[in-house]
Amino acid sequence: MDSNKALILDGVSVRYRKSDSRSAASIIKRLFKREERSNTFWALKRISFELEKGDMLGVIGKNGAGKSTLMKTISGTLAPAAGEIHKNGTLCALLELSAGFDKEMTVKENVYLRGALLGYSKEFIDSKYDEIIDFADMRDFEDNPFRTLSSGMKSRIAFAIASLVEPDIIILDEVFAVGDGDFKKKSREHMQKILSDGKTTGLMVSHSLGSVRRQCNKVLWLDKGRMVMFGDPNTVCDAYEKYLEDGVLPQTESIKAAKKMPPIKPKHNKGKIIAEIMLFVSLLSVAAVGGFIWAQYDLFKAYNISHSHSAEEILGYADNYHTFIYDALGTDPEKWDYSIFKDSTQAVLDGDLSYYEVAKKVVQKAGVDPDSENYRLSIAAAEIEAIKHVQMARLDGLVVEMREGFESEPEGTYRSLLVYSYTNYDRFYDLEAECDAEVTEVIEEIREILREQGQSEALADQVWSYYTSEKVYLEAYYCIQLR
Amino acid sequence: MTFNGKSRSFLLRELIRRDFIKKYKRTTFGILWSALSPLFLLLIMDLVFGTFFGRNMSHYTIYLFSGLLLYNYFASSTKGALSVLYSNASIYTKVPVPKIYFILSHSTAQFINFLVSLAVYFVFVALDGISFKLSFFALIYPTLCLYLINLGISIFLSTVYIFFRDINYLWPLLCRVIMYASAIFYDVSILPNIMRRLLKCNPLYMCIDYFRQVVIHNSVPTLSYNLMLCAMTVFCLLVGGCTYRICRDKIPLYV
Repeated sequence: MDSNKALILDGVSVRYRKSDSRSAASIIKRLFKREERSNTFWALKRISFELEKGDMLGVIGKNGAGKSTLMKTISGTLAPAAGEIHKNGTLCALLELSAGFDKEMTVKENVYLRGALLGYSKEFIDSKYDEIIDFADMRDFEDNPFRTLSSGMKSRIAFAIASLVEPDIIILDEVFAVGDGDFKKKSREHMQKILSDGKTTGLMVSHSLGSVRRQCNKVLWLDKGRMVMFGDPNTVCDAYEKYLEDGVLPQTESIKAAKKMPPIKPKHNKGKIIAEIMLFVSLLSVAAVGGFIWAQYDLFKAYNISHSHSAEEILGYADNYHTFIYDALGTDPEKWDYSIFKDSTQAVLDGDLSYYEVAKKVVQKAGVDPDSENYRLSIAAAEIEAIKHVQMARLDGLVVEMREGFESEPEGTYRSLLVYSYTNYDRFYDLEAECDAEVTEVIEEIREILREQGQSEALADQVWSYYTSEKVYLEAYYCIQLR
Repeated sequence: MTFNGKSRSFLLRELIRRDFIKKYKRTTFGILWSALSPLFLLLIMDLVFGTFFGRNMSHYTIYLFSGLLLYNYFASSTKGALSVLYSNASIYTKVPVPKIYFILSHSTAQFINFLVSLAVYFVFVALDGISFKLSFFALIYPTLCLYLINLGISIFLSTVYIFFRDINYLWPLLCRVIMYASAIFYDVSILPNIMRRLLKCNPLYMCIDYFRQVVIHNSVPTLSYNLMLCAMTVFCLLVGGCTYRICRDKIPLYV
């Protein structure tokens, strides 16, 4: 960009919406009437002009010509649907000054908030705070809530904050109508001072042709969003005055050119398209895959393990965790008679024996002294072992059942036993839930014992986490068996 | 004016300050309410549900408080965020300022509020006889995740609110569903196994469960659990951010 230029507008167009109704009733009405009216209109059409440093542009036109829209677009609060705006340097817009203050906050707090919104740094406002308050003549009201101020006072403080920086481009939208006569004079002088240095570029909207002629060196005339004329103040203002008298719009070059141009095409925004794609991809992938896998996470883990390890390895891992449990509970399984577990499995399944009775038998046979410290913990450990044996027996039964079920299915319904067993997986869930409940009981017991012995209950949680880890490996083992 | 890093953080600070001032303006207790309101809610819930569910569970009060506190933060933060872009329209249609800052400041103000109530939570933890452990520092992770999840959802809701005002009525209903799907006052073991697995698709439940595991059971969740929480956080932020980016330029025309 040419360093002499302060502002370049190139084919800037802004689109507005017409109606605001999106109720179900109006949508249905529109559907039935098959109305194909467009809901948008162009508030600005292909505005192009350039300003050099030190220029003062006056924008004139009737109400609704798009003057304020143009100012908002240049200031950055509205994004153009098409065209480009190039700004050289910092910009300060004084648009509808009193909007956006918080009623409940004090004047001081509002000054800082507004300063922050305008992009100033804290240090900058700290250093300029006194200047602002003095300029607005608000020393006595510093700590009053904003709602107690009169509208003139609000405008004064707003003007003081906005104009304290010396920006490269300044936008004035009929701001001189603020405050009383005294403040009006003061603010006008302040503006003159900023603009007179020959480097600041100004844009102003005004209905007063007198002040436009006096202050501006370029004038833009807008009508219904179109550029009518851009150029020397006297030429444009004379033409505008003539138009106000006879109501005939002059057929200027820019209007003729606009008629020949093809319809405006909204520009494609790269960031927007990328955002749309990302949104779609992430929504789809997460909704479909993520939820499904996560809900059955341990099943997949088990399946994965069953693929990368042999059956012996897996049982070995499971045994490892089991050993951890024994260690944690201070039991020595070396002396255990494992045949007792095996022999009593059927009795437990039939309900003739309880886990506790089985465990007691094993521990007593191993010769642990019933009065010793870890007697009860050993029983708990033996109980977990008994539960494991019974569950394995149940799982074996289930696997046999599954095989039978699979073989009795008409051919071709399930392509593999694994798929079949997956679709019937809720029976595994039921077994697992049962097993969980039984182990939880033992864990509660352990907790109680620990509490009585005055020890930390963390041990019980540790046993539980070993159990859950072991479970995954056992599941993996059954995945292999089903293959 | 253009924004640089310094003035951005200053803007955020000022907006957070404004949100805070607004929230407790003209109340007698001010910020104390951040601590008091969850406290009273806990008392009520503990009285009502403690008799049903509390009998066969140790540390039921903490169990309940973990759920209640996190859900409350989630609900108030997201419900409050619905109208943020709409109610600040008078500012960003006049002053060129990135709109997302209003949502950011709202979420952060709510987060600070949550941190205050979290202090009350730890007082309760101590009162319930759970001593402080180093593993409590692991809670920083789910807390941050919840903040970012809330932020993502807030951005999404606030943007959608501009175009589809009905979300104002839909979201509280959905919040109710999320509340029941977060196992706040009941024990998850009463659920069937498949439901328990599905609960883990709810990021809020994951955060609550994280708190319970660390505080009550003294065990830090597994790596996969942590990664899943991270993935959910990223997902929420992505959805919120993309929605905002798509609609950003249209927002001033619809407010």
